[in-house]
Amino acid sequence: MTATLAQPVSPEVAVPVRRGRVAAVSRWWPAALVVIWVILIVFPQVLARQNPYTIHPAQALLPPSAAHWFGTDEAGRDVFARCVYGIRYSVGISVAVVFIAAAIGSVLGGLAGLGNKLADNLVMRTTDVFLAFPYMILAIAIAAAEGPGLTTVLIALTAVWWPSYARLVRGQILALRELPFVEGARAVNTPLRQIFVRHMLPHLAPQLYARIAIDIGYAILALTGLSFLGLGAQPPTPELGAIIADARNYTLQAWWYATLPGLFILAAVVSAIVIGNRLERAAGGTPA
Amino acid sequence: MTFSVQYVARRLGAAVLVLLVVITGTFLLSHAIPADPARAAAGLHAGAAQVAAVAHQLGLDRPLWDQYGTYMANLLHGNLGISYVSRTSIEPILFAAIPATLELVVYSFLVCAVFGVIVGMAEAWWPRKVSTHLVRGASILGTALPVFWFAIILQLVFAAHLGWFPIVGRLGGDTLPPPHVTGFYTIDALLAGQWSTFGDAVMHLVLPVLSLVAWMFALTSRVAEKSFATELTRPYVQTAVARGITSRRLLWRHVLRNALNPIITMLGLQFGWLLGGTILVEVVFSWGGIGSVMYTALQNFDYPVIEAVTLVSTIAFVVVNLCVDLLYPVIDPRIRRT
Repeated sequence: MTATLAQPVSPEVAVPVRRGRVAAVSRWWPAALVVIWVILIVFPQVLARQNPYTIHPAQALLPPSAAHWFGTDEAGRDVFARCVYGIRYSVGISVAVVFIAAAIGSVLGGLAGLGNKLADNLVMRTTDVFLAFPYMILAIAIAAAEGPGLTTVLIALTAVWWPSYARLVRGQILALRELPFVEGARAVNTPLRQIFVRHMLPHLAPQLYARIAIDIGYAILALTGLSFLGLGAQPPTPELGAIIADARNYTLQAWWYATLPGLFILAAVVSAIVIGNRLERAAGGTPA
Repeated sequence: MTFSVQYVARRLGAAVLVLLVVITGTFLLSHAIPADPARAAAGLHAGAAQVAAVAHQLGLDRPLWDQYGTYMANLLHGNLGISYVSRTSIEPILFAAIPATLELVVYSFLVCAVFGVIVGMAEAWWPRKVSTHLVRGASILGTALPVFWFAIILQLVFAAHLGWFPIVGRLGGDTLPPPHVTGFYTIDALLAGQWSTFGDAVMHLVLPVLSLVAWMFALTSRVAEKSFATELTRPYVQTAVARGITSRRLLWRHVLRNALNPIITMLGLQFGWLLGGTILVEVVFSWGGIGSVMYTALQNFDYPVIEAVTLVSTIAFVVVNLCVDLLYPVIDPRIRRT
């Protein structure tokens, strides 16, 4: 025990150096993960042979089998096909949410960090208000006010997510501002916008990417949660949270219906977090 | 313990200001954005005249600032408004539901805080062990769990299949609630000396609490681990070790207190997540707390109730974070001076 103390724990996580084929694999698998998810979003028919909308009342609530890997739902639709098509909505919209939020947050955070005091105060106090709400509650309130639907969820989650990006970018900019290369650029009268885009964004980008990847995971959790409450996708759209919500009336008769779709959510979120951790390590930080 | 009065006053002032803005924001959300609240209140099959009548009755035809004034005045009297669906005041519904949610949230919070800190401490103390790798992997998995799905899994496996725990609710069908004192069934049952009711309430709590804890626990233990790991590299630790201090005393008396600040900050923020997560869990376990109230209101487009739940949850969140702010100087004397 005291041995640990004599050599204090270094905060960095040791990444073993690998060479050769193993290194190639370990370098590329995050990219491979992204490719797999993109394929599933764009071409769900690759994995799902059945139509997610076709109703077969005679085949309602069948347990998993070779024909229906995840069984069927109360209308006899193939649950596996519905899940695979559902990725498009659950993951696709979450990706959109986080990218839009990151864009809005970066612009406003940039304004706050580079602009005058008034702009800074305005943006920061606005983020204070948004962050004062528990984020799920705020998203629910916004979504409820707009009426259920996928666009609603997109807007509600973006509204909840941008403040953290504004803060992140502003904080980074305040740190970068003091560095010589920015001072130099200012000294030769480079426009602020150009300083932000050309000199600061490249420094911000790696951290931003890592954050975006992890946030996509959290956005998927929030989005499926809102859908589970009935605020997101409306029937018959196959969205993972909505599928599980539909399944709630049948949990005791058909265990597969509510449980198996969750595996897709879990897999998507784990992928996002793992990719995010990898990007964060690449950016020089320790994975959160 | 000399508190800086200024520090406390500043935090209190900020909290009050945030609350005012939050109340205004919630008001705007439910009065300015919905396409037609009167339509929702009157119901789907109402004619134009009926909608107009309902709008007039609820004061929805008055200018926004006028409605805002009434709303604020009502709030000051502890009046949260009238449900569109039941046409009765919201407070009794909410006040009956709040203890149920609080019981769930408080126990989850305590379990998570205590075990999260202990596990984080252990991970920092014995780094790079197989078990800590396992814990790290498990914590990624835990963070990735959709809470409503995990709740359903627990319900299916441990309640429906194995039958170890009850499936839904706060008490079994044949158990009467204990006499109302705090609204926490566990505490009220103990106060009344009803042991079987206490046991029943605890059994009903296990699965919902587990569902809520799974997600939070991962984050808590990771933040705790980081915080402890950073503290363990500090010179005072080496000094203490050189003085021959026992490791238990070192960890609990010296390191814990220094490592606690970031952990408490995170726990305060986690509370906000807990307030959202409890809605999802309450739906699965038919818990009957404010999450269930919110869910019913969402199904019926009952805006005043949604607004009231939003407000109450947010106030709770602001108050918890105010407490966190006020705890800092208690834990860390250096903050008292600034």
